[in-house]
Amino acid sequence: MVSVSSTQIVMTNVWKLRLVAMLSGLKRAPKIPTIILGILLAFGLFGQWIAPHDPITIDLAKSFTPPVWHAEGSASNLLGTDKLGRDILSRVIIGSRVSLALSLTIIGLGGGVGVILGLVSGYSGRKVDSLIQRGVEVILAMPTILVALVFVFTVGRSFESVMFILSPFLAARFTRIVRGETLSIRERDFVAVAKVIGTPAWMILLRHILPNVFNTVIVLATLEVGHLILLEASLSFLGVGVPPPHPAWGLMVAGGREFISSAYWIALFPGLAILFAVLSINLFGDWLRDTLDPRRRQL
Amino acid sequence: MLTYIGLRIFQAFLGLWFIATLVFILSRSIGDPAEIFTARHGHVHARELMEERLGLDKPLYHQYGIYVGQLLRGDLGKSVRNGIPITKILMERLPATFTLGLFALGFAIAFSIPLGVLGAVYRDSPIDWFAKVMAFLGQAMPPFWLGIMLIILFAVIWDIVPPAGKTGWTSYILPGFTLGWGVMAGMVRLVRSSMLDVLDSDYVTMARAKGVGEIIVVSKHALRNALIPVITYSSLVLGAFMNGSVVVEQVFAWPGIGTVAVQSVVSRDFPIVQGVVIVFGAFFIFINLFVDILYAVIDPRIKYTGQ
Amino acid sequence: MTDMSTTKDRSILLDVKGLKTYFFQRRGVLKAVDGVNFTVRAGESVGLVGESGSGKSMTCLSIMRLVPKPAARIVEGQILFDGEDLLGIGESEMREYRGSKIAMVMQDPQTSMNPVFTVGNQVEEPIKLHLKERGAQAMQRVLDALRAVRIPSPEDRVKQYPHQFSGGMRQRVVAAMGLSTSPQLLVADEPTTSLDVTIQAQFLGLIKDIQEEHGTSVIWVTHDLGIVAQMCDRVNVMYAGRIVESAEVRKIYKDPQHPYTKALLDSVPVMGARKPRLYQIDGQPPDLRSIPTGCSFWPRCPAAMDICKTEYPPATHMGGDDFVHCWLAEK
Repeated sequence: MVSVSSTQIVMTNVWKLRLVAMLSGLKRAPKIPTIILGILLAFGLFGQWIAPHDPITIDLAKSFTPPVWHAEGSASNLLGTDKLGRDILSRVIIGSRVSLALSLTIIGLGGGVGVILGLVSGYSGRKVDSLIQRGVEVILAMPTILVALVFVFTVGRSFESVMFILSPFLAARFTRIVRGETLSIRERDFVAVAKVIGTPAWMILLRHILPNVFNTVIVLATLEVGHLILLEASLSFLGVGVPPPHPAWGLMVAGGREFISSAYWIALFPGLAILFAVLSINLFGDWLRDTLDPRRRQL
Repeated sequence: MLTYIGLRIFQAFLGLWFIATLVFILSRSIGDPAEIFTARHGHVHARELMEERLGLDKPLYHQYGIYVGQLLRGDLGKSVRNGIPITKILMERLPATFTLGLFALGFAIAFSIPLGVLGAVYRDSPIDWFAKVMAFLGQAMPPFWLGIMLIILFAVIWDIVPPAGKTGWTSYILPGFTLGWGVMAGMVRLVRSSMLDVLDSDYVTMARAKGVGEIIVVSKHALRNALIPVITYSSLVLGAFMNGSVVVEQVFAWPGIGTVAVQSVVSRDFPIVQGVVIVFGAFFIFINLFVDILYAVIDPRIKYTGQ
Repeated sequence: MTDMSTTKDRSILLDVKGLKTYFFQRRGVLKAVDGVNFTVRAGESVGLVGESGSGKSMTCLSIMRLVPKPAARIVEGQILFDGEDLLGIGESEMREYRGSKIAMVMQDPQTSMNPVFTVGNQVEEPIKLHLKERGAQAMQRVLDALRAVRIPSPEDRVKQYPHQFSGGMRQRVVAAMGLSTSPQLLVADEPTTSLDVTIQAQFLGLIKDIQEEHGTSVIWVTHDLGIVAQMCDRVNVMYAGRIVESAEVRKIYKDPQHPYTKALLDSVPVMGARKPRLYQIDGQPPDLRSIPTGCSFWPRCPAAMDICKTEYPPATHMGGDDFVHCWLAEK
C-alpha cells in the first residue's frame, strides 16, 4: 500500500518543475537590469568585503573630499567623502543592506499575511469578504508616509518599528490583488470538481487556488520591492528610517542636502543608487510579468 | 444611476467613520498625549493640567463620544502646543497643498496623455521609446532626490526659478513637477496600454471600415474608451499626492499640510497629526466618491444598468 | 438566390488577383493569405468558406485594406474594384471607398459598436462622412436606415446605447451602418455566428431582401455550409490561405471537385441518414508558418498522389467562373 498520496507526489513535482523552469527562464531576462540586481544582491550580502573603507569611521581631515575626477579628489575615495570624512562609495554599498533587508522582510511578512487574507477574502462568504475588504480600504485610504512617520517617531526608530508599520500597507495591497484573482479562479471547473469530491476549503485554497495565483504574487512582490525601497528611502530622508550609524540611502541624501551647491556628490550618489536599484527591479519585474502573466502586459 | 450614487455616498460616510474611529483607537493606544507632550516640554503638574484640558481623565467611551461629536461639528480639537483650533490651522494650510496638487495633476495629465497616446499610435517608434523611458524613470526616481537635483539645476546653477517656498506662480513649477513626476510615469504606461487595447478592438476596426479618418478614429472613437481606466487611476493619484506632498513640501519648504504634519510629529503635537490623518483620509474617500460618480456619468453602461 | 443563369453575364465588380497577406512574426512568416484569386459580379452573393485560420477574415480585411499594422502586410496582388486597383491608391482615396462603396459587417455586434456613443451617432457617421449630409437631413437618413433593417420605433432607438439592444438587433444596427450609404459591395464576416438560429434566419432574410432591392453584391464569410446554400450564388472554398475550389453553389453541392470540399460536405450531418459515425477529416489544418510544399492539403487528402507533395496544382477551369486547384482535376 502506497502511503504517499498521488496528489502529494504531483504537488511536489509541480513545485520542483516550477523552480527549475524559473531558474532556466532567467537566462532570457533583460541583461542590464539583471546584472544590476546581481550587483545589488552582492552588495547586500558581501558588502563588508567589497567596500573599500569602513562606512562608519569618522575622519574629519578628509571631510568634503570631492570624487576622483575632480582636481582635489583622490583614488582612495572614488566618490568622495561626506562632511564627516566618511567614504561615500562604501556608505552607498553598505546602505544597500538596510534597503534590501527591510524590503525583503516586509515583503515576506506583509506579503505572506496579505496573500492569506486575500485567499480567505476571495473564497469566503460575503460577510467575511466585506469585513476584510473594508479593512483593506481603510488602510489604503491612509497616507502611508504620514502614518509611518507618526508611528516610528512615537515608538522609536528601529528596524522593527519601520517593519511593523509598513507591513500592513503592503499586506493590504496583496490582499486586494489576491482576492481578485481568487474570485475568478474559484469559478473554474477544477475547483468545482474538488468541492464535489469533498475537499475541505483550506485544502482547496492551498492545493488549487494558491498555485494559480502564485505567478501574480511573484510579479507583485518584485514590483513592490522597488516601491518599498522608495518608501524606506523617503522615511529615512525625513529622519524616521532605521537609526544611525547604519548608512541608509535616504538619510545620506538628507544629510547632503545642505551642501548641495558646494558638495553635490554627498546627495547625488545615494540618490543615483536608489534610482538604479528601483529601476532595475522594476524592469526585471516587468519582464517577469510579461513572461509569467502575459494578460497583464502593460508595455 | 441615482441609487448607485446614493449607495456610494453612504459607503463614503461609512468609510469616513471607520477612519475616524481607527485614528482614535490608534492615538489612544500609542500613549497618553498629555504625557507624550509634557515629557518633552514640561513637568508633572503640567501633565495633570493638560490631561484635564484634553479631557483625558474621563473614561474612554466618554472621550470617544466627545471625539465623534466634535468631528461631526467639524471640530478637530486644539493644538496641544498653542491651543489654536486645529481645523483653523489645517484650513490655512490646505489651499497651498491643494493648489500644488492641482498643478502636479495638471502637469501629469498634460504630459502623460499625449505621450501615452502617441506611444500607442506610433508603436515602437522613437516617441514610443521616449514614453517608455519616461515611465520607467518616473517610477524609479526617489522624489526627494529629484527635487533636490532640480533645485540645484534650475534654481542654483541656472537661477530660473525660486529654490523654495511659495512665492508666486513660478515657485509652483519645481515642486509641482517633482510631485507630479511619479504619477505622470504611471499614467503614461496606463494611457499607452489602454490605448493599445482599444486600438485593437473591433469597434475601432469598424470605425475605420466606415471610412473614418485616422485622426478622428484616435481622438473620437479610441480616446474616450481608453480614458475610462485612467479616470479610475486618478483616485489612486490623489493618494499618491498626499503621500508625496509630505516629502515634497519638506524639500521645497512649501507651506502646506505636509510641513505642518511633519512639524507636529517632531514637536509631538499629536492632535494636529490626528487631524491631518483624518483630513487626508476624508479627502481620499471623497475623491474616490467623486471619481465613481464621474465614471457613472461618462460610461453609459453604468448609467443605465448601475454596474 | 438570384437566377443562376444570369450572374455569369453580369459585370465584374471585384476582381482579386494573387492576393498575399503575410504576418511578420519573430518566429517566422505567417502566410495568412497566400495567393488568392476570385471575382464578385454585380449583385452576386459570393461565399467564402473554410475552417478557422483558413484566411477568410484576412482576405476580407485585405480587401478593405484594414490589415492590422505593423503585424501584417499585404505583400502582393491586385484588388480591382470597378476597374480601380485598391492596392495602388492612397489612404485618403481608400477612405472614400470604405463605408460608402464597400461596407463591412463583423462577427460580434457587441464589440463592433463603440459602447460610449449612441446608436444614432454611430449610424450617422458614414452618412455625414460620405453623403455629406448634416442635421435633420442626416437624421432622416439614419431613421430610414434603421427602418430598412426593421428596427421598431427608430426615433426612440437612435438615442440609445448599444448595450440596450438585444444581440440580433445590434447586428441589424451594424448592418444599417454599412448599408446606409447604399454600397456596391457588402463584406459580411460571419455576421450570424453569435446569433441564435431563429434570429439568424431573420437577419439573413433581411439581407437578402435588401440585396434584391438595391442590387448589392455580398461576400459571405462563413464556416456554415447551410448559410452558403441559402444565400450564395457562388462559393469559394479556402484552405490554408488559398482558394482550392470556386464554383456555382448548385454545382458544388452536386459535384464537388476538390477532396477538401468533398470532405467538408461529407462532414455535415444529414438528418435521417443512418451513419455509424460522424465523418471527420483526418488531421489538423497546417500551421500557417510552415505550410507543406506542393498542395497544402496533401497530408490529409485521401487521394494524395506523389505530384501533390511536390507541386502546387494550377487552376483547372471547369466552365464559367468555376475553377479548382487539384491534380486530380488536371487529368
